Amino acid sequence: MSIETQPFNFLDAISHWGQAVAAFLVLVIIAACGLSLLTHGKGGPVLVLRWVPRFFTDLFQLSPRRVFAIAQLTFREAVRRKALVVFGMFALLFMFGSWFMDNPNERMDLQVKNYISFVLTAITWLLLPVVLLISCWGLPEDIRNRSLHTVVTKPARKTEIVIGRMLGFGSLMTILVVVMGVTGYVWVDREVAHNLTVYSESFEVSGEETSVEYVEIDGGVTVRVTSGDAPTRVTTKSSRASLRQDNPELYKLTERARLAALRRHLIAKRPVLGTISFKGADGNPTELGVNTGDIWEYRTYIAGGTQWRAIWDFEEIDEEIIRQGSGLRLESSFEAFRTHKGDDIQQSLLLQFTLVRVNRNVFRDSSGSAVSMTAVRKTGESTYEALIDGVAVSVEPVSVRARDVEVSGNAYVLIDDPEVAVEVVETLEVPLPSFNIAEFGENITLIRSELDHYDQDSGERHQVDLFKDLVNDSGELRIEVACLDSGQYLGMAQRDLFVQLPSNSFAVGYAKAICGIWLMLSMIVLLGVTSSCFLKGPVASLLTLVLLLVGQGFKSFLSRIVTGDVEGGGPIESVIRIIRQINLTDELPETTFYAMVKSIDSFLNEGLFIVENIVPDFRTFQMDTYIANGFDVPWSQALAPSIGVALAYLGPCLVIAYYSLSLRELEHK
Amino acid sequence: MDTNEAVSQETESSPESSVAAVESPSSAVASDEPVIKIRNLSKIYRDFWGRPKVQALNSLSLDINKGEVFGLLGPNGSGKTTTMKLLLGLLFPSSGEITILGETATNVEKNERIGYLPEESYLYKFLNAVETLDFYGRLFNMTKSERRERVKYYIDMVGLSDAKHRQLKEYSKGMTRRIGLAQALINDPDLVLLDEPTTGLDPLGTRDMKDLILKLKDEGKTVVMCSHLLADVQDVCDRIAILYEGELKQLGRVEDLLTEQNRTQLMTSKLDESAIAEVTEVLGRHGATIESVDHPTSTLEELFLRTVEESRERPGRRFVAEEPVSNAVSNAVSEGSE
Repeated sequence: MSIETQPFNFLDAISHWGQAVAAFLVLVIIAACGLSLLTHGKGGPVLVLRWVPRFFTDLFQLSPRRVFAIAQLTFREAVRRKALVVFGMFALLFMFGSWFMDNPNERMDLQVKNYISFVLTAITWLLLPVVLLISCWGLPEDIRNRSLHTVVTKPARKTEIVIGRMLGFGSLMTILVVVMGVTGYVWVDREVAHNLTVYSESFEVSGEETSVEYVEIDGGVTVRVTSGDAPTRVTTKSSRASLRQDNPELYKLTERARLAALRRHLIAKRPVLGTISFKGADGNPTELGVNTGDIWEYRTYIAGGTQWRAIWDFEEIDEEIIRQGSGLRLESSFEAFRTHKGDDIQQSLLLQFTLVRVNRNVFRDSSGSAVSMTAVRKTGESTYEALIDGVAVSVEPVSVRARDVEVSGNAYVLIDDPEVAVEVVETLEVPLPSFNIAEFGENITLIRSELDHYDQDSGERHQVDLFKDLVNDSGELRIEVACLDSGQYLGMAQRDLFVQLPSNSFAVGYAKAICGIWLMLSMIVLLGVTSSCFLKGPVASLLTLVLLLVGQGFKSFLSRIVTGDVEGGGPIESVIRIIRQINLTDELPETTFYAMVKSIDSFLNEGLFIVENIVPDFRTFQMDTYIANGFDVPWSQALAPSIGVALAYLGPCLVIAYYSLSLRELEHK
Repeated sequence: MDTNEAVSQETESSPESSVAAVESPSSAVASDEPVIKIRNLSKIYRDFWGRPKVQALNSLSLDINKGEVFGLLGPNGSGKTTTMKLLLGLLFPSSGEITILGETATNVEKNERIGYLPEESYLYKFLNAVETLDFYGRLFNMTKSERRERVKYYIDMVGLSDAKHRQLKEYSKGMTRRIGLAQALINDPDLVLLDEPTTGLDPLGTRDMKDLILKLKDEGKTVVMCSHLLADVQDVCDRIAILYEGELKQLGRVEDLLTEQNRTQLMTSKLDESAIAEVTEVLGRHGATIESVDHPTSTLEELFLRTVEESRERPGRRFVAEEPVSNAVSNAVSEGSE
């Protein structure tokens, strides 16, 4: 999985939710009316419509005491069904897990990542089946044992039963998640420190900057210590124990380095991500870089020693960010694609950052309509006119935000109106000193708030203020990246360069990742309880599992089918292609028959819109990748959408559960 | 009893208070205000495809009035329990209407005033008696103090004080029925629906249950019970309905249905042969025919209860009509040896 962030817009999400729910409800009501017409005659639809407002009556008369009573009963029931046995399995895993996790060949960040991923994966996969089964089997068992009869013959409302069940299972699940989460945190904190086999750290020892590098492999332990300008001391021992015994001072030094390295890696970095675009060899903007033939399209490349540039546009850069970090802290991690070998194959590539102040404008006439930039010409110091239908009209430049602009072809255009080109004016360029990068490793670059700048036009050197002179009025900053090694290529992706804010503690990021697991399990409880209102235990479990698997693994495929991006057409067209053995990429003959098929398919695809939205997007809840890679879980891009998804399903699930329980005969034979 | 003439007189050996409580009619009088109205009620069970499988009820119409004890009788499969479940909204009618306490059967608000004892114990077996009653009390939105008071009262009432902290899965069938009854009464309901209330109870438990039903009636509550233990129904019910294959076959007051107006039963203290001959002669002069002259028998239930009660009062005393076999053998041996 990549850790690409998805843009989340609350209003768009609400609107999308409204459309999906409305479409679903209309479909259900039409189906119910049709069915009741067959079974109850003309009065059937009236009966159905009379039932519609009952849910709201029921909901508004909820009694918290009854809900809590049912929740408590559900909790007790689950505990008596030995749901807490999962703690035992969890304890076993953690007691022996580290036996299988040592990998002395891996870099330190990967070792830390392994431990964090192991904890979060273990919590998820241990709790998932337990939560799924208890929430899917609770109600059907109650109905089978007829225990529910003694509840529904009391003044307990159906919504109270459903909410009580959800709360009961939810609270048990919460306890499980919290206990496992805390245990996991303590385990990571202690176990990783104990088992690190490769690390390096620099710190001051007796006033000298000292670098300690520790490598422990099957053949023994090697420690390299470089203190000040003195030559590197290399010590080799058969094991850590013998190092401690033979050289206790050095051992203490390695332990200090171990803890310091761990503290540096067990953090939650807070990145400010920018948008990425490129400048080609001709200096014109382009959406993607050079394709080096790597089939994984995560990164595209810039050619070294040419005009190729990777461009990051950062937004919301304020003075506070610069002040907090005593400048701007950039972290980068690039991948090289080498076209020639040489003596310097082991050396890193040479790279240069250039800070650019840019202004983005579109031209609008007096009515506010955007005007094509090709039609605009300057008429004065700050006056412009455009020729529209042969008439010269006065136009004004209006500033636009970087987020509203994208590259299309070789020009910048408005995202909402790709016909309108955007003028991007670079008013100041400040190149930074070049530096060698460590491939796949972290490259931290601190850009001070005061910079020396040599103005090539005037031939003068002067001071530039990072915030005042380079960040534009909208709080945006552009950073261009050039590779200076001719003949080599450097791969770039959006997350390869970001502005680093002061990091959060690991505990905060970890807690957010646990919160993601909790939200995912809450969704399972919602879906499990809802499906158990109209299905028996095994089938409800199967349905919930299918929703989970489709929502986790096939959601993007489903979306592509709905949007028509999948080759081979809709359901009927694809059947025809299979029968007639027509290749997916072949165009279908333009006949009336195929036109009809395509029309029917497009109608069916509209129906698939509902199906797509019934399946929850379980990918939203995956936050373990962030913290395992050392990043904080962003609120707006990860936590907020997850909470949104869980809440979005709460209402419809309650409606479905209420009608399923109300319209079924509990005693049906 | 099959005697012709009637002179009702209590025998000296009639059981004491508890039995008398059953036999004596309750003082409360049922009103004509219907608590349950059933009109043309039919229920057809259908298969998965919607095809009719069984007609469980066919056009049932009856009213059950406030303050009466009403019995639904019938053989297995006659529709008694189906009727009960339709009243509770656990099943939906195929046709017809039900009004219960002025509401439709599916209206949840009616349940505030209803108590229901299911045929078998469907309670949560992992709870103990106190937790069970507390849970159901909370479903009636009772406050904590109210629940504590009622839980204690009903646990004492059904005689489970010593077992109140044991999980229900450890209870005997009789104990389970008792806690089931307590949960049905926890809200002090106006209408009590009892499905086979005496099933699984020993004669003492049965007696207590019948006493309780009459007590509920005295308190002005309406009780609807279905049972196939006819003696129990006869003991407590004011009116009964007999169902057969989903159809109503008999409906009316128990006395009206059972009294044979063209025959007379006469019961006296013990008469000798000559007195019997004289009475026969007198009756003959009035044109009556004596069908049988016999000593009346008590019911087995009465005998059992009397025995248990006397045993409690005088422990160690035996009431043996026939000498046990083991004693008879030992007596014979001892006689032979003499």
